[in-house]
Amino acid sequence: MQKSQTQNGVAGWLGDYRSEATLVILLCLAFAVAPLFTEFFLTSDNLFNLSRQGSYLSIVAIGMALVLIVGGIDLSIGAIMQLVGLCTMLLLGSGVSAGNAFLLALLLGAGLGVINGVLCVYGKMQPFIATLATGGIMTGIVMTYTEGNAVAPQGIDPLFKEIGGGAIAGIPIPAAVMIVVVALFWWVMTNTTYGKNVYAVGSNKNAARNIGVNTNLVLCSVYVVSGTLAALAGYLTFARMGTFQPATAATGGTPVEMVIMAIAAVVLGGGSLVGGKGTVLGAFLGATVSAVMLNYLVLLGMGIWFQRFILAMIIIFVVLLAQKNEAA
Amino acid sequence: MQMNALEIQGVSKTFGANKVLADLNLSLRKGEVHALMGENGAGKSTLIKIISGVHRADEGVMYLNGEKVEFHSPYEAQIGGVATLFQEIQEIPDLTVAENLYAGMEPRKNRFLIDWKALYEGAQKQIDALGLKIDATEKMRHLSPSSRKMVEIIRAVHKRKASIVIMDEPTANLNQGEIDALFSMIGELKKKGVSIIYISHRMREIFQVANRVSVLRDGRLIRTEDIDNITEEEIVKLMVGRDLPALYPQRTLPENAVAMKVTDLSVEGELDKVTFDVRRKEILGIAGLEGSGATSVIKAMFGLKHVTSGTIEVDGDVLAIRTPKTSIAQGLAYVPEDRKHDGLFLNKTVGFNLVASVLKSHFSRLGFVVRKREAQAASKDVIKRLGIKTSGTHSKIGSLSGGNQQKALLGRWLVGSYRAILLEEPTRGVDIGAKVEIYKEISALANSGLPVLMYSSEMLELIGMCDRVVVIRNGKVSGILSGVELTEEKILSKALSN
Repeated sequence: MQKSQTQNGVAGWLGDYRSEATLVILLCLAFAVAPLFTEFFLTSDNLFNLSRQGSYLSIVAIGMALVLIVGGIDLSIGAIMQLVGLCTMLLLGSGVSAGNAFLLALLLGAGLGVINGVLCVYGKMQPFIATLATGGIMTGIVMTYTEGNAVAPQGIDPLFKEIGGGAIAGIPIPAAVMIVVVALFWWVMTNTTYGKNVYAVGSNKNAARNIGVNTNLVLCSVYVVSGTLAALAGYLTFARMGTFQPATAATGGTPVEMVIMAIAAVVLGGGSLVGGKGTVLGAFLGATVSAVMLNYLVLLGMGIWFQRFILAMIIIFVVLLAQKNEAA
Repeated sequence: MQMNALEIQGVSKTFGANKVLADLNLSLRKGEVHALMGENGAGKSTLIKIISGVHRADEGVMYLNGEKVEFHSPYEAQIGGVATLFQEIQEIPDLTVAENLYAGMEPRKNRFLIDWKALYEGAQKQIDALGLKIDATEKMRHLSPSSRKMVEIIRAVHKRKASIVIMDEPTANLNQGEIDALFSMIGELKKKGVSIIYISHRMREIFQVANRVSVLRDGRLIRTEDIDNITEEEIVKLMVGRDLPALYPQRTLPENAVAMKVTDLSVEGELDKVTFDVRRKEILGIAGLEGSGATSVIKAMFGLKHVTSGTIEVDGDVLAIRTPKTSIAQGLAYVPEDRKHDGLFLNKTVGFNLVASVLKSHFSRLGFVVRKREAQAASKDVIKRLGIKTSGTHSKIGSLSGGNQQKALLGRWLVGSYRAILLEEPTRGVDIGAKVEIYKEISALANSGLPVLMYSSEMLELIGMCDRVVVIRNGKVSGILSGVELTEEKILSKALSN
């Protein structure tokens, strides 16, 4: 009793958003000390690029957050980005408009999510195994089709590159899309019965069933969300490039690395691999912190491998801190 | 003068705001079977957990064979000679019977290699000596629940030359032959000078096997007595205390009109054509020993079992039994027996837990946007109505005491309207104070005109609360008791045999 009384008020509210608060402080610190190390960080050009670079990760991290909240995992999101990117490029090359290609891309992502969901829920496969396998299949399709070469069709809808590189009111379009996605899912998870059901299933599946939640449907749905958002991120990524380039370590991250970064973002934001925990806001902040740190390290002239080292250290530090706070 | 095997002096234990044991003394003589009696929540399990090193006492001392001991872990207690047989089976299902029997003390050929021959032969010998038909090479997973329990018993008893063996409801799953085997084992142990603490709800067993009995209530030792100097009635009276009438609320008589009718409810291998009806304003109890199928009745009605045949009518409408979702939509409210595993969202707030079931139906716009303020207000009302002790709707429900958690589990069905209430073990593991309030609320639900169905393994609770009790044996209704027939004896005799 005495213990729970101390959880009232501001401290209580912070208690629920401790990870988020930690990340906000970390971000503020990063912005505050940045000018001491590099004059480029706070330039508008850099922030413009940074917000676009960070948006792809934020979008997939939101989907990953929902999957982790129900206690699942989606290892196929990087591969979905690839496959959707390739298909988008082929559609555009055959004369489909950027808008129609966009809708078809999301539909494909949702469909791949349905496959993941059905395998996990109705096929009773462990999500780790199921999505590892579907991701492998998708990567295999992409690599077999392209033989590792770029796909760069001519005469595609110019709107496509505009979506990837343009801006609305000074905000890069991918970043604007990300803001809409974050706001939408933040609202869905905190204000709708669907959001509550996702948390209920993640917290205690049996109990959720006993209060009348269709647990199978909820479990399946998070993979559809995850797949759709991965497709969205894939579309935006390749819209930026204007061509399709099969992902390798040399081209800025393999599908697997995207998965790891997304999981890291959610976990940084207070999520947990055993389910029941995590927030959309936390995933967004986690992704943003990762993006800022990477950007920072690039400006400081650190190599790509050293960046990963630093990022991993940050993950350990923040998660340990969050757990310590929780225990206190 | 003979030294006591175990001497406990002034032991107290508090969990949160809950004083579970208060200044408790207990002595255990060498070679005796000492029965511990008390209602759920009286402190029996906490006491044995302290003796077996799972919990540590806040105050008090413990002497084992005259030596002062303090166990910091179950392992230390085992080394010290205390073997404990908990209610839950604690075996490794994918190992064989013999491997389980010898787990941690396998006979060895040398330092590294296990002597498999000695292991299997030794195990089979132990089993045969008790007249049990269990194959030592069989995997535990493939054994019947009662055989698994017997293996567990043999293991606990023979492990590390125990001087004290604690048995918590050892006969819960056993058939008569196995109970006899267990009792002959107990006899052997007594001859060797081993002392046994024996916990059971079955009064008859106590008189059959125990030398002395101690009754606990509200964490205190009420009395220790030789079994020959006490009667069953006296024990019951000591267990519930003088305030028995106040424990259960005054009931009004049920109406004659039938509100819910269950006909020929069958579940493969569990229930066979179970038929009964519940009248308006009636609390109908369901009783039955473990393995009888009694626990399946409500689960089957709620859509948690594959029902092979049968109908449920409420107010004349035949319900479609499919999933909990459809059952709730048709007006059934359900409190599961295992609140941690099947009921509560432990890492979520009290408010979340109270209204999660009715968000869509009562607190949403367009069926999916949550009206947070109204939901919050409703959960505050429930907290007040049930007297749930919490600092607010934002506290994590896992931080509440068992009694308050259980109140919340019932409370989630107080928002919204239902046509029938299904309860399993509505007061399992809660203190007397919370019990009284839960009973009051159940009674109020019935008085409001609802049929209430209640499964409980506590016969006293069924007798105190219910207008009639349906007894289940081998998946069939073996009797429906009411009025003067509603006694522990009658329930037991219907539950045991024809």
